[in-house]
Amino acid sequence: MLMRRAKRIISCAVLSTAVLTMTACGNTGGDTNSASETQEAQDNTHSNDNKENASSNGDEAAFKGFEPYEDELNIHIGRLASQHTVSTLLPGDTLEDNPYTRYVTDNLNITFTDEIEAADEDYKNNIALATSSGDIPEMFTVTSYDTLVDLVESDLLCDLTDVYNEYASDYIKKIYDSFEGRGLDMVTFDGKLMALPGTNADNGVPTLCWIRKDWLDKLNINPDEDGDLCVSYEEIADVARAFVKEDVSGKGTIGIAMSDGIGDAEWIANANGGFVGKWLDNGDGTISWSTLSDANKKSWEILHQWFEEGILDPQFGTRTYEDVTALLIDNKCGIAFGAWHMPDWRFSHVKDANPEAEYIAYTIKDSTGKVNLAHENPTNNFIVVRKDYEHPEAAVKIQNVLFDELVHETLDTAPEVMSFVQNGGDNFTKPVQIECLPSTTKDVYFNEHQAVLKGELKPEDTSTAENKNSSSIMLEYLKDPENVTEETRTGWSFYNSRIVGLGAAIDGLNKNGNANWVSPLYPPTLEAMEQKKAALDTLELKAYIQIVTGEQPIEYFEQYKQDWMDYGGADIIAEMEEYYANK
Amino acid sequence: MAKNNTASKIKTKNIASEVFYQCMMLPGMVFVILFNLVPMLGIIMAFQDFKPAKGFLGSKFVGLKHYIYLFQIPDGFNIFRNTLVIAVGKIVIGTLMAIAFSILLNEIKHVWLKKGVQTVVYLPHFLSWVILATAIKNLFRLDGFVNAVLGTGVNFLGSNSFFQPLLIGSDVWKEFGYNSVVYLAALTAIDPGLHEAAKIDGANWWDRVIHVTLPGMRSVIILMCAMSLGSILNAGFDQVYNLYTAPVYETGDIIDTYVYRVGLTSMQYSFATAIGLLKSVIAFVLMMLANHLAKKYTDSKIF
Repeated sequence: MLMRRAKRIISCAVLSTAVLTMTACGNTGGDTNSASETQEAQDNTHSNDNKENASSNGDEAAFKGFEPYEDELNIHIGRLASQHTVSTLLPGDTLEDNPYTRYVTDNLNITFTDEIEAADEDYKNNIALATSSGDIPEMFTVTSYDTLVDLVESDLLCDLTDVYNEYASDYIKKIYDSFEGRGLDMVTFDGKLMALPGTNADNGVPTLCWIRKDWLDKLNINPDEDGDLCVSYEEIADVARAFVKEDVSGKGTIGIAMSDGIGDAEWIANANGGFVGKWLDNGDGTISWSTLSDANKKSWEILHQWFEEGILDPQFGTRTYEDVTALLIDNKCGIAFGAWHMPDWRFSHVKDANPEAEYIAYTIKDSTGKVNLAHENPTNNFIVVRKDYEHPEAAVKIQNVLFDELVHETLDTAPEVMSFVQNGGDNFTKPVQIECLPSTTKDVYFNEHQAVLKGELKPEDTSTAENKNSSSIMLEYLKDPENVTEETRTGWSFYNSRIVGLGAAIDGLNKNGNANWVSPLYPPTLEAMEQKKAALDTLELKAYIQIVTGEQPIEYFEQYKQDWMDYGGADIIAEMEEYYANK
Repeated sequence: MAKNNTASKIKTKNIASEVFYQCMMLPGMVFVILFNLVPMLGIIMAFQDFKPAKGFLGSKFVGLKHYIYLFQIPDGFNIFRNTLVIAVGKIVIGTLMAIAFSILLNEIKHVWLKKGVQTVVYLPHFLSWVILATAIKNLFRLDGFVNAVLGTGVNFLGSNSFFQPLLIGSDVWKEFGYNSVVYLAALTAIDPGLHEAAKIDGANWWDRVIHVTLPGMRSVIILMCAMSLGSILNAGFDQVYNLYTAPVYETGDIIDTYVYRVGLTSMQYSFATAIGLLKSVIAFVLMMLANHLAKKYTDSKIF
């Protein structure tokens, strides 16, 4: 055990040094002056710039965040377990006993007994049922914010403030800090930390404008003269105009195609300084619904002009998201909007059908040159602990082990669990079903793939199993980028998402320094919202489509605003303002 | 006294011998109780703020809240109007088509041709709307067949003036063949002697249709219309759901699609139940009324 640990620690140190110098994502966790031998060694791996990062609990006492329990501690948990999760288990393993749980047992002497085991909606209902009867597991994952609020209001959860401060490793704290408190704010009620939130690193933003590079080259146009990978909506319209006018596809090219959801108008709202479908805190205790803003009025008016002109799909409003994807695949439309990962699952089909297809991605700026971005809901799942449970710190320690220590393991240091990870073992076979990654995850993706591309880093030296895999597949594709085969098409996808997409979304934005981030509120479903929001959504969608297609004049926007407020919007906002005032 | 004894003896004997036959009814009764009567208790959801986790007993009772809200929602009027227009259109035009078709088909003397035509017009009935909707979308889209033939550029599926006729037309086309079965049966029940007598009296084909065939079918037609009143608030969820898009919410959104969108996808079980119950009550009242009228004027009734 000791031998294995020492060996593991050494290689871990070497690796993390390599990675750390390479990437912006630093691992500065751990603490100084640990008493136990193990802990001392651990510190070395966990902190390179440890000296300047004095820990709050470091000096006076031993840091106990990684200390195993003397007697085996068995925790009764509630576990989210989908069909897929179960299918990735190794033969003979169970959800209660698999490489992840054994890794936790090895490190902390904790074992698990599943009290609730169910998938998705079932799990949610099981937890809700347990909540209403007051009989909940000692520790479990909560999969919806509404359930969490319910649990807190039923006074069933343990206040984790102290154990978090005392036991969470610096790396874990750093992860949460990288979200500037957005995740922790959501789980803080009355100043008390009631759950350990999972993290969601803004994977869907920024919305990029993806244009067919081969079409641009064919017509010899370039929307991005200054080469900063950032364009305005007028420049996008110019490209669309050229595509339609020259009929670049030869099949009756459609300039800009958008699906029938109002969320698809987010990019143009952003380009006018607004947002679609977000609750915005005005800073004075009032809250507003972002779709009602003048920025949206302006963008709907622009869309209407484009519709009249024929740049916007003449069948606008009747296309579903799948229909728009079909247009892309059919080679009829060369402009698409979406996040950096679209090449992985949407454009891969375009490439299959049209081997000549190449994409380029741009961020979209407003008239002042800013790129307006709204943070996504910073958290999805939560770990909570029952109120009277004697070992609330176990939750934090498990989090330390799974989301700090494990991240820095290699095949040599922890062969069992790492080979499980690399061979597709599902993350949710962990005893806690959350993701806990820094908000800089996308930066790491880009930096490491860029380094691999430049030959500065070997795929096997990248920091995660996922990156090893994707960067080596990407290199395969780059050996012969002209002839993409079935084998190298995934490499094409990874190149386009990690280099082209993130090149604009991460590198471009960082270099331009023109990102304007807004943090919307993500409230639980309150009573008025539950009853009235869906009807308002219909009202909103109708107004949007009618204005864009010209069935109603732009002046109708004021009517829509009034109706939205009258038919329940005002109630929802009032209820929400009260909720946040009391939270 | 003695008489009474014998009577009760016979009664007991009868019951005893009937037990076997009564038992044969049992599975059916259990089925009805289990699947038709017990779920009726779920109606209580319409008057609660039902939460699946809390169950019937734990959910809050809110009385008529959902009904009051139903009449406050921005589209409430639209939805009822669309449902009625589409459903009535389908019932009226569909019935007329089926009657006309059956009369015409009955005139065909060539057996193979008759059977052939009948089979062909039945076919669409057996296709699901999921499949037909795709076909219709392709036919009627902007660069589709219909626009190409007509030389127009109308987005039928996105146009509020064409969407309802399109729904009614496609449903009538799909169902008229199948619906004509009953009328064909009614036609065979008309005494051929009546036709012959009319012919001898000098009636032409048209006269015979008006004065012999239609009166002969009258009771069946009225009965079928009375029955279809029960579905007057069912404008055809699967058809509308597969064909509609946001631009035609104005004319195409019906009660069922609204309930689906607002109720089920946003998990408002109580609201959805409340609307469903309202629909059933209205349909029930209309059907009772129609049955009563049918009994009064044609002497035939459903129950």
